[in-house]
Amino acid sequence: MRDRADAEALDRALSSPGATPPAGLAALARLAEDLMVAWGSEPAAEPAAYGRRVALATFRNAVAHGRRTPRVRTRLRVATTVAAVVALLAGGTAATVAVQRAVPGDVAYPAKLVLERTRHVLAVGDAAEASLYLAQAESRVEEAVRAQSLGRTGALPETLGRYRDDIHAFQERLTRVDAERAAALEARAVRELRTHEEVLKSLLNVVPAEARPGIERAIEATRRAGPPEGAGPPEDAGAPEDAGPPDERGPPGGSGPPATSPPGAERDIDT
Amino acid sequence: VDSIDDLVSRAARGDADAFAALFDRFHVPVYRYFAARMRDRVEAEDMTATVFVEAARRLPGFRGDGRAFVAWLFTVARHDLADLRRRERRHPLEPMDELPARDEAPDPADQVAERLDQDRLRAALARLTDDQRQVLLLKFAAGLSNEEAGRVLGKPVTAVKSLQHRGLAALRRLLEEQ
Repeated sequence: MRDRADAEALDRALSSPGATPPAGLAALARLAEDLMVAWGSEPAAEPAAYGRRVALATFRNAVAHGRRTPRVRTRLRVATTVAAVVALLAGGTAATVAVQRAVPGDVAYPAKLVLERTRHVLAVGDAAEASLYLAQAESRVEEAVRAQSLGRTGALPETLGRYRDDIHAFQERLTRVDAERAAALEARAVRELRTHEEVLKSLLNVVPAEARPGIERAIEATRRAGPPEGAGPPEDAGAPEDAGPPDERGPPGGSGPPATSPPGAERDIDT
Repeated sequence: VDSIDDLVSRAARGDADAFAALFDRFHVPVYRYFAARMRDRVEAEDMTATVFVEAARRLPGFRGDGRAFVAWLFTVARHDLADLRRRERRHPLEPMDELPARDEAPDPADQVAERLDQDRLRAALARLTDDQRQVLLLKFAAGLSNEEAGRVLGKPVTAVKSLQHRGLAALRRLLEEQ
């Protein structure tokens, strides 16, 4: 009862600037004011402006796609998948090469992503899937470099976000692979991740400041996935416990916030 | 000044200006929510950008008022932070000293002084219960009201007030112990 009365009194004091809190609660009210000062930092202007541009571009893109009716969207999806499968089966044709060389911003780029998903459907076993994710991670690094050279630095955050997703997915699949094949995959990953890191570091030196955070996070992901400096293949290539890609999240709605993690997960997590 | 309800309603219908206004209104609160829990300012900026990209993807067609949007935005932020913590526990990260410093980095002496103080606060904050910590972050870092914080956490206002009181009391004790 006392607790509740104190909680109400403290809240009243905090909600009314200039109000004098009850004697026993003055220290807590002061702490709340200190917290507001300590946590009152401002984000740097350049990354904020860059984030705004990226968010607005994403919004316009989402609006453009959202205007298609569900039936049209389904037809488009089916048509794209069929086209991707045909391209895959006819591997080596000019169309397939064009799709495989596509970079973010190209018309063919969405087809490239569909093609990658199709390959996962056709892949047999976790080792094959892990291998595909590793190859995709390499594609993402190549795309980032080419996007930068084409001046499409706005595409880097999303491309490198996909890179991190691919690295995490590779690690997750690796945990399900038998020891012999896992060792071979790990050895390959060690070599490739070192190359990725070098390339990403080089990229860091040539992109505008606002594009660096995404690259820095990609480097972090690479390091987390790789072995310690001077060590052999990683002993623990276990799965990250993250909640999956953003697309698995529920849409926003008026009936309360959607679940963005598995149900109940937020109850025993340290945030 | 347009109300949040109005901006959300217009953005849900595809109005990019309304979305930009929502970004401008909530960018700093979301950044502060992350920055209060992170040593790395760049990472907080990056996490903030991720939340708004997610909002940009989901907002067209959003059905709900301003409060529902705010609750949803900070729920995404909260889960993104939880995901990051899980990944960090799984793959502890070494500091990246050799990376080039950002041009706008503040004076190193100021940084150290600030970090010491903030580190102490973060350490104490980490020892609160998740609900207490979330209430303090949502209210004093992000500046949400009791109602808004309650919607993010799925708790009634009375519970938010109680968590605020207990959280501040516990934080004070922990800071005095250090």
